Amino acid sequence: MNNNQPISRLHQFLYYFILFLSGFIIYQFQIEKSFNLLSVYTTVLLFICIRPFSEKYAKSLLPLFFLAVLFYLYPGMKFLYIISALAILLGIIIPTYNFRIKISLLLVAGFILSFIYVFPNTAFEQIRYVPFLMGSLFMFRSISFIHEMRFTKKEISTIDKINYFLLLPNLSMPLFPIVDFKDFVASYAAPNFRQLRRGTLFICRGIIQLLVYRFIYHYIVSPISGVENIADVALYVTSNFLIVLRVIGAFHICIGLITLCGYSIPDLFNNIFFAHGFSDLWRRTNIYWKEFITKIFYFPLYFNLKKRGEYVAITISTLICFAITWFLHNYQWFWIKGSFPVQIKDLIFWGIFGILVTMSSLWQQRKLVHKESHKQEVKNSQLIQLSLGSLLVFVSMSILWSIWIAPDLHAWIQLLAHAKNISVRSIGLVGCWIVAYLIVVYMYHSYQKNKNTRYKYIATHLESISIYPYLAVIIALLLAQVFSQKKIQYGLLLKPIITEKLNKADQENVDNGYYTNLISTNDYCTQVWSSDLNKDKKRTKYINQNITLMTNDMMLCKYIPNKKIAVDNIIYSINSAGFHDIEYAQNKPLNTYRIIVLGGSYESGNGVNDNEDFITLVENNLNKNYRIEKNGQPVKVEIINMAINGYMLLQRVYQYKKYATLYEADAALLFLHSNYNQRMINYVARLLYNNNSVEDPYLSAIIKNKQLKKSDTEATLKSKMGFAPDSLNAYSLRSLATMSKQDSILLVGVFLPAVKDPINSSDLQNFMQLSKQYQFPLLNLENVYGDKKKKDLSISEIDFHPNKVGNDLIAKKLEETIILQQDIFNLSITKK
Amino acid sequence: METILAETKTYISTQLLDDTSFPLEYQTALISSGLIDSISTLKLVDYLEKKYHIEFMPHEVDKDHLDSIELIAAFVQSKMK
Repeated sequence: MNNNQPISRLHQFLYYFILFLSGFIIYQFQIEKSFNLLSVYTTVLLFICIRPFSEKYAKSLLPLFFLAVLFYLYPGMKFLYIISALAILLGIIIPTYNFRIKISLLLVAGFILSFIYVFPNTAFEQIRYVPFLMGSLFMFRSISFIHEMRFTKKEISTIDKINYFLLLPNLSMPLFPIVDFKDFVASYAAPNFRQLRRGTLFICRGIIQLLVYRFIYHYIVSPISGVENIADVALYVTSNFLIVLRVIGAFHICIGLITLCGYSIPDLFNNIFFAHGFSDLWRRTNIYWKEFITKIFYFPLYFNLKKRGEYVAITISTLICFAITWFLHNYQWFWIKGSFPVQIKDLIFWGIFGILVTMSSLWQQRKLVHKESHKQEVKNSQLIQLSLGSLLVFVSMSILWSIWIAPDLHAWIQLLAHAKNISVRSIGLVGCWIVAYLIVVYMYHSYQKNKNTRYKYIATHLESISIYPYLAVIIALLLAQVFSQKKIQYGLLLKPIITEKLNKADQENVDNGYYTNLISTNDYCTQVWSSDLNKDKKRTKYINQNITLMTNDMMLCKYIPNKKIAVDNIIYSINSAGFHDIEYAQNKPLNTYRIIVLGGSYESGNGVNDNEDFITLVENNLNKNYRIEKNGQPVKVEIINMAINGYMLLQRVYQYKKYATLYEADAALLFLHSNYNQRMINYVARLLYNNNSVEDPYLSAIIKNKQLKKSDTEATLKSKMGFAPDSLNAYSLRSLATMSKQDSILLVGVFLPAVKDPINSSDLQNFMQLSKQYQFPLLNLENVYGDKKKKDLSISEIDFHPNKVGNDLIAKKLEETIILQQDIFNLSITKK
Repeated sequence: METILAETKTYISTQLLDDTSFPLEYQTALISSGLIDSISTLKLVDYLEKKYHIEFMPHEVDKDHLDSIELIAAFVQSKMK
C-alpha cells in the first residue's frame, strides 16, 4: 500500500482504533506514568481529531496545545514562571538580528538559569523546574537552530520556529532534546494516511519496546552482587546493555507523537543491537545526536584539517567529536538533573568508544579507497562475516556499557573477575546465547542485504502489514491485564511488567535508603530515574544523594552538618551536629528530660517537611498538651532525632557510643523494624566493600572466622555468614542494653512496623524475646496504620517511607503509647 | 549538467555503495535514506572538489545539496559558475 492508492475509511479507522487502544494500554500499564506520558498522549490524540477540520490553523494550534499540557502539569504560578522564561528565550532566539548579540544574550540567559539551578538557596528551589524545562527544550535545539539560521536562504515561518522548540513530547520526555531544525521544518505535511500509519507504528513499537524493557529489567537484570560465574557475568553485562530499550522505546513514542502532529521527523534508532561495526553502531544509535555532532562539529573540524591528509583529519575530528560528546552528555545531565558529574568511568567509556569508532572509520575509509568497481553478490560468507562483526560489537558494547553503569571501576574489575569461575553448565549457557544471537543477527543481515532482490515483496509491504502483529500484541496485552486483575497464575507473573515498579535490586536499595551513589549515567535506563522529575516520589534517594557523606568507620555514612535541601515543596534540614532536627546544646538544660532517637530512614522523616516527622510531632505535642513531671518537678521533654538513613542496629550502637553521654541523655528510643537480617548482610558487605575500618571486636571476629572477603558477592556472604546476621543483631541489642545500664540511660525499644509490610509477627516476637533477655522495655506500635492502605501512607508507589499521613499516625500512636507506659520513663504525664 | 549527473552516478555506485546492484536513480535519496554515510559523503565531496575544481564550505555538506544526484549536479553547476 502506498500513498497514491486509495485508502478505505475502514483502514483509516483501524489505525485510529489502534491509537485509542494504545492510549488505553499507556493508562492501564502505567507506561512512563512518572513522566506524564498519558496527558501528552491524550492531548496529541485530541489534536489529531480536530486537525482535519482546521488544517489551515493546525500549526498555530500546536503551541496552544503545548501550553495547555504545560498548565495542566505546572498550574498556577509555576505556569506563569515557565511561560515568562519561554517568552524570554524565544524572544532572544527567534528574531533575526546580530549573531554575536544573540549568542551573548543566550549565554546570559543560560547563566541565570544555571545559577537558579545550582545556587544552594531554598528560594530558588521553588523554581528549579524552570531551568530543568528550559534546558530540556533549548539546550541543544537552540544550537541547531542558530547554526541553521546562519546559513539558510529559505524563508521559514515563525510558527515553524516556535513549534520546533515547543515539542509536546518534551513535556513527558526531557531527554528528547535534539531534532535537526532543517529536517523538522521540511517534514511538515497536511494530514494523510501515511503520516497516520507512520505515527501509529512508531507509538506501537515504542510501547512494545518499553514492555520488553520491563520484562528484562524485572526478570533478567540481576544485581551486581549476585554475579558468581562466567554465565552470570555474560547475563549481567548483556541484560544491562539491553535495557537501553527504555530510551529507544520512549523516543519512538516521541517520534510517533510528533509525526501525528504533522512533522514526520526521521527515525532515531536503527536496530542498534545488530550493528556490524563500531562506526555502524555510531550511525545507528541516536541518529539525531550523530547528525548534530557531525554537522556542528565534525564537518568544520574535518574541513580545517583535511589539508593534513584524510586519515589525520578523520582521526583528529572523530576523537575531538567524542570528547565533545562526553562534555555535552554531562552538559545535558546538568540541565536535566542539576549537576555536572565528571567521572573517570565516563571518560573511559567515551574514550574507548571514540577510539573504536575512529579505527572503524579509518578502516572504512581505506576500504573505500581500495574498493574494486565490480558487482558484489551477497554471499553466505559475507553474511557470516557481518554476523560475527555484530557479535563483536554487541559484546564489546555490553562490556563497555557495564563500565559506565558500574558503581565504580573497582566494582567493575571485580565483576569481570567472576568470569574466571567457569563450569560446563556456565560455558554451555554462554555458548547457547552466542549461537542464538548469531542466528537472529544472520537472519537480519540476510534480510537487509537481500531486501532489494529476494525479499523485495516483504520490504515493500513491511510498513503496511506490520500493524497486524502490533494489533495482535496489543490485544494480548489487554488480555494479560485482565488475567492479572483476576490474579490468574500467569497474570501474577506479568504483574511487574504491567506496572511501573522497581526491580528487586533497586527496591532493596530504596528500602535500605542506600542510594548514596551519585548520579548514575544509566539511571534513565532503569525505573530508578523515572521519578527524579517528581523527586517526592523517590525522596529517600534524592535526600541521600544530597545530604549524606561517606565515612570510613563503622557508621559508613553521616549527614552533612548545616545542609538544607528542598525536594519540590519539602524542606529537609540538617543541624550543625549532623542531625535532622533543630539545634540542641550538648549540655542538657535544667528541668529537661532528654531522649535521643536511634533509628534509620523512617525516623529521619524523609517523606515530610522539617517539623512534620513523627519524632518532632511527639516532642511538640507532649510539651504543648501535657504537664510532665519527673520526681515531682515539672520538666520539658527534648527528643533529639539522631536517626540517619540506612542505619542498621550496629551503626546505632556506635551512634549511641558517640552521642548518648555527650548529650546527657536520660533515655534512648531504639526503633526496630523488620527484615534486619538481610539488611545486616548488606551492611557488612558495604563495610567490606568500602574498606572501612572494622573496629567492632564481635564483627571483626565474624569476618575473620567466616573468612568474609571484599570480593564476596551478596549470595556468598549470606551463605558464609549463616546465622551470623541474627547473632549480630542480638549482639547490637545486647551492647546497647549493657552500655545504657552502665551510663544510667534508659534504653527503650520501639517496634514500628513497615508501611510496606505492616504485619510481621515473627519480627515482633523476636524483638520481644530479645528485649526480655536483655532487660529493656519494648513499646509496641503494632496496628499503627489501622486499615489505611499502603499507597495512602507511602511517599510514592515506589518509595514506601511514610508520608505525612503515615507520620501523623505514627506520632499519634507513639504519643499514646508513651503516655500509657509513662512509668517506664519514670515520668508523670497528665493532660494540661 | 548531463555529464555531471552521469559521472557522479558512476562514482557513487562504483565507489561508495556497498551494494553495487542497488538501482540508483538521479532522484534516489542518498543521505536521508542512509544509503551513504558521513565518511562516504566526505569522500564524495572530495571527489567533486577535485573533479570540478570547486570548494565546499562545511555547512554545505548536507541534505539540501547532496541528497540526490540531481541536487549534487545542480549544486556543482552553481558552484562552477
